[in-house]
Amino acid sequence: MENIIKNLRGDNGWTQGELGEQLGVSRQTINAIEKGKYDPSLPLAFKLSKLFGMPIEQIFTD
Amino acid sequence: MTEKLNPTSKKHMVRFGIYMVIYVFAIMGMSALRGQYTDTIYIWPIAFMPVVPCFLALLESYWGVMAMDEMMRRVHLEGVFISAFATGFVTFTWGMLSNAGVEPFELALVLPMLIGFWGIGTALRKRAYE
Repeated sequence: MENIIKNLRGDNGWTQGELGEQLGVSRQTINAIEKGKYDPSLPLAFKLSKLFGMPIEQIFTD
Repeated sequence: MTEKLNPTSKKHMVRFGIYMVIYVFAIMGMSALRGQYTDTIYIWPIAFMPVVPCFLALLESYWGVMAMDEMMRRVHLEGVFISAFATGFVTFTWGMLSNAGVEPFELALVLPMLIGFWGIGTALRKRAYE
């Protein structure tokens, strides 16, 4: 699954560590999600959606 | 490895390491005392010595993994799966070979083997997410 988290994070000027801290996950997890190597759980996807103020389907695409 | 863990997981993993060190000392203590005390009253507690730190180490490892974030937890659970597979395969093969005269497998080695393979399996699976 692809996503635009790296762009959204960049727009907010956050590092991977800072984003991870806000979501309660590690920098490694953010890195893996950005690279498409790990698909987040639904609760984490909802957290991302809420944090960036965008629907999940706009953040993640097939 | 521990710098990637959250403080709670790190605390549990440090405790896990401490209990494993105590376990090693308990093994050495058991070996040293076993020959000196042959009375039934002492044999059981001496033989049981390594079990206590091992049990505590297992508990800490469980809480440590449960306190990790979802991806790290997944990586470790995949490592546990690899560990179970490898340990099962080794002990099963050894069991089969014992029919050909190979000495029976020392059951006390199963747990250290599981933990060792867990570490290897976790390191291997972690690479897949980097």
